[in-house]
Amino acid sequence: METLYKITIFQLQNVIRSTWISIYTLGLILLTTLIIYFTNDSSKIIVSLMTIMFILNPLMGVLFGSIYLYNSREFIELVLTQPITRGTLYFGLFLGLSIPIVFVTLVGVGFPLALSRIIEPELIGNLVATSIFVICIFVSIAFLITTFIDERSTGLGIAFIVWLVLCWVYDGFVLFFSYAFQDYPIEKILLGLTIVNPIDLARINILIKFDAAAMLGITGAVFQEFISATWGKILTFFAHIVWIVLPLAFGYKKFKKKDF
Amino acid sequence: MVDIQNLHKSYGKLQVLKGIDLKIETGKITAIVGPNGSGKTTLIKCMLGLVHFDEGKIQIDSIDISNSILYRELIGYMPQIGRYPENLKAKEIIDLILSLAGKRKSSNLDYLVNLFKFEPHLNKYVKNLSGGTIQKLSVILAFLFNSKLFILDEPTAGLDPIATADLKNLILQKRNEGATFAVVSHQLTEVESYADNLVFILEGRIVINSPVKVFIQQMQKQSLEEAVIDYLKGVG
Repeated sequence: METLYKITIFQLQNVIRSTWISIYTLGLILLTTLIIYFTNDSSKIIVSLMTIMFILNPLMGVLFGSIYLYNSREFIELVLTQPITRGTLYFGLFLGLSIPIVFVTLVGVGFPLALSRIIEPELIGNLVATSIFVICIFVSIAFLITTFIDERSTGLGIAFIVWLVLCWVYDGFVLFFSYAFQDYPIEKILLGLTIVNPIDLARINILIKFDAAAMLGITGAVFQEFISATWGKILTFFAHIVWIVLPLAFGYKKFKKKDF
Repeated sequence: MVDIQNLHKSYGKLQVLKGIDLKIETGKITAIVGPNGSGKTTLIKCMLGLVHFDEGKIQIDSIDISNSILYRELIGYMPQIGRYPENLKAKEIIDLILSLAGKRKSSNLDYLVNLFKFEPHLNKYVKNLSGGTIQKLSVILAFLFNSKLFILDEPTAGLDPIATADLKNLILQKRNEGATFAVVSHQLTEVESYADNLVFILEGRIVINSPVKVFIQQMQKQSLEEAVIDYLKGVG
């Protein structure tokens, strides 16, 4: 545990000093502040912020994570020549990379929101917590990709495609599916499809708390029932955890056997 | 110090090491040379546990490296290209390696910083260091502890002539104190100046394994470079 802590701290120091992290944090603060002051309606603020939380942040998580890991390859080699297990290094790298990006969200979005006092603290907490899960999921995906794909350009391409699919293409598929089968009772299937994609689940988790959810009709009612119920909350939490753990675990399995 | 038996390693269909048997003598400098792609770096990476070999056995100081990571406490490693986290200071990188010391106690940091005149660079960020200075950082990291075995991959590449001379002297000094060296190099003239033993790898097989002086005498040549070239012409 002591070695894990050391690796995490060193990694954290390196990431937090990155110019990109500083630029991104300042950009988020500016963007969030502008959204708050140019939009008076709290629902509209949340919907606008969701674009940052569930589109921009995942892209940042998966691309920054991948680039960072590709750039660290020689250093990973050097640390592995020390008496340290691969597991300690792997999870130290993950924590040292996730914590600063999570911190960026807290400072860049949570801080201006809390200061503005336009939105209820509970909702801010929910939004920031969901966003943290989403970031960790995409950093975890970055770990999976970089451990399996050695070639940097291919890995970054795949990272971008994964982001594109989860944030955009999947929605198109769900929309097409619901349109094609609109005459059938597909609410539960839609719920299932939503749980499968962490971004959709995160979006619904926030959206359902607004009056706008009524516009979603029967599907909205099913989602509302699901998200409000205790088992629904547990399942939502569990689905996010699975999305963090699975890519990380598969990546770790490969990392243990990987040739450097 | 190092006992390698029947080592095989393939990357997909490409067989890189084809049954390497090698003993690296304690207290000697063994130069591992060979053309590009011959398997030198893969061999030392197997010794370091960075590459998993398909078949064979490696023992370092009688420890089977497949069963333990503790043998790494015995090794000081210098990579061919040292690339470090660019937002950390040189001192912080040294501190990281020191903090992973395990049971290794004595540190040569002050001596090395003085030898390579590294003091002005300790508090600089890696991104502000020149290539040669980063190479000096690699030397400092490799020699930080009084290791029993040093594995150096092209150690003088990128170093200025003074630092090169200092490094050679350091290698000889450590050898005289009883340390063992496995040095990968392309430069036969340089190898001849400090190495005791020569291991020449060609297409994943050891073709020469001999004391440097004995090999030059056997080939009836004046220098190691001439002897190796003559040998390779004979093989080819």
